[in-house]
Order: sequence, then C-alpha cells, then structure tokens
Amino acid sequence: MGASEALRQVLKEKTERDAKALGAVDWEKRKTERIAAFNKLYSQIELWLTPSVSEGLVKLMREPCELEERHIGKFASESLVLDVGNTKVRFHPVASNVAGASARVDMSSGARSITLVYFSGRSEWCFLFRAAGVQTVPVNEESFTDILKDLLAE
Amino acid sequence: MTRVSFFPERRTAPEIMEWYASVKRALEAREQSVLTAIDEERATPGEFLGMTADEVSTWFEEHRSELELAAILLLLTESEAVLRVDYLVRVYQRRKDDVSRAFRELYKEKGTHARLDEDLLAIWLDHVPEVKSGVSAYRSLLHLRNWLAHGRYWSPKLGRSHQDYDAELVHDELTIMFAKLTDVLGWA
Repeated sequence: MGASEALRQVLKEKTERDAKALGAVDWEKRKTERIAAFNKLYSQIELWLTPSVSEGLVKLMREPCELEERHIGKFASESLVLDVGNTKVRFHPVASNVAGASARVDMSSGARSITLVYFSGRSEWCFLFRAAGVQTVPVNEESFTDILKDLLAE
Repeated sequence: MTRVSFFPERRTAPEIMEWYASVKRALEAREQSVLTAIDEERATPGEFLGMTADEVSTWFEEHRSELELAAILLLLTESEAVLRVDYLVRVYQRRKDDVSRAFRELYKEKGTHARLDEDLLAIWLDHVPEVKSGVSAYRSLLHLRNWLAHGRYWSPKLGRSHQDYDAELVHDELTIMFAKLTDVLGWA
C-alpha cells in the first residue's frame, strides 16, 4: 500500500468510526435529557432560595443562552444567575458531551469556578472536585450552602 | 589508574526512542478511547470525569508535551554518557589519534571530572573542525538539558520555545553530530 493510499485508509477508518458512533446515539433524546437536567438543577436551587428571595437577600434570573454541540448542533438553553449584594454567581450549562456524566454546569463567580456534573443513572447532580484526585459530592441544600459560602467569601 | 566500571544496562538512544514511540502510541490510543467513550456515553477513567472532549484533548496534549521533554532529557543524558564513555575508552586504550592524545592530557589534569562542554567538546572542536555546526547545535541543546535537569525553576532562554523541541528533532540533531565525531561508538 502506497503512502497516499495508507493516508486515505486512515481518514476513511476515522470517518467510518465517527459515523458509526454518531448513528448509534439518539442525539435528540440526549439533548432533551440534558436540557431537563439543567432545568432540574435550577429548579432545585430556586426552591432552596425561595425564602431568601422573599426576604430580598438574593435575586434569581434565568437567562437564555444558545449552546452548540458538534453532534446535536445549536440548541437553546438557560443560565441561572444569582445576584447577591454586588456579586453575581452564574450557573452556565456546558453544551458538550462530558466524560462519565450526562451533563455539566459550571458555577462561577469572578475567576472562581466549580464544576457540577449530572449522573442520569441515579438522577443526581454532584459537585466535582479535582484537588487530590477526583471527588464528587452530591448537590443538596447543605453542600450547596457550603459551596456558595466559599464562592461569596471575599 | 582506577578505571570507571561502565554500567552495562544503560538505555541506548534507539531504546529511548523505542520507549518514547511506545508511550506516545499508548497516549494516542487512550485519548481516542476516552473520546469515543464520551461520544458513546460509556464509563471513562475517573480522572477525566466531567471533562469535555476539548478538555480531554488538552489533557493529553499536556501529557504528550511532558513525554517529549522526558524523552529529550533521556536522550541528552545518554548523549553525555556516550561522549564520556568515548573519552574514557580513548584514554584507557591509549589510542594514537589526535583527539585521544588530547584526552589523555586532559585526563592527567582532571581525570573523570572533565567537563562536557568546556573540556570534551572543546577538544573535539580543536581537532575535528567539521563538527563545529553539530557541536554548536548540541550546546544549545545542553541549555535545554540543564533547564530540565535542574527542575525548570527559571524561565529558559533557549532561542526557541521549549515547546518547539520534540524528541525526534533532538534525536536527529544528535545523530547528525555523532556521525561527524570520528570513531565515537554507542549512539546509533
């Protein structure tokens, strides 16, 4: 086999591999599930913060955003923004597929950022920490409070 | 004269390049495996959890860069070993060529403590002028070696970014130099 034929073969195999992977996945279903997972997280946070919103301690906003994933294409989603004092905490959905999880949201304030991942098998959002190996902590009212406190600390 | 006992299991340049190519292929295969697993929503090794495909590629790119530097350091340390063994063998065997005679004089003064650059390379340049360009390139590589070997604690001034070096390029440059060093064995 000549060099140009070998090169063509490499590209052909890669194209076929990707086409096979693409065809094996129901991307529309994955998109719907991902958007539902984002919504589930935001709704839960909104619920926890309802009393604080009523007291005027925090403002909550959902902002529309457009995401793009290479197999799914462009699709509409939302960010969740917490307005606390003069600080904004933003939950930004990640469009792309991620390793080992079904969805990801990045929670950030200024330069600081925390990753949240969704495990569809157990319908659970977790905070993801990379210090000293990878650790996950389920998102619940207690862990959310701790993380928010850290993010808001000056 | 107390002779140095040479270590018989030293990694040769071809063995280093074989190791390098093998690890590089393994990294590429693992990257492909993780990227495919992401697309297919299959389990991935824990360290990649939550990473996008782009982040996984960046992770592997950083690891490939480290592999390049590790292989370069091994090649450069092996090049020094080849030059030092050649120096000592010429002394021990009392060879009659000009380089060997100069090495014997050097050995009388400095023994095994002769310096690679200022002593050994200087003698090669004095007696085999055609190695000048190869030695000049090698001296640049020694700056890279020193930076790597001392833990990279200073910002290097190498003439080009350390990221522009790769193991194959360094291997090629060293091979060109060694080809011009008369009767130096053990590199290729």
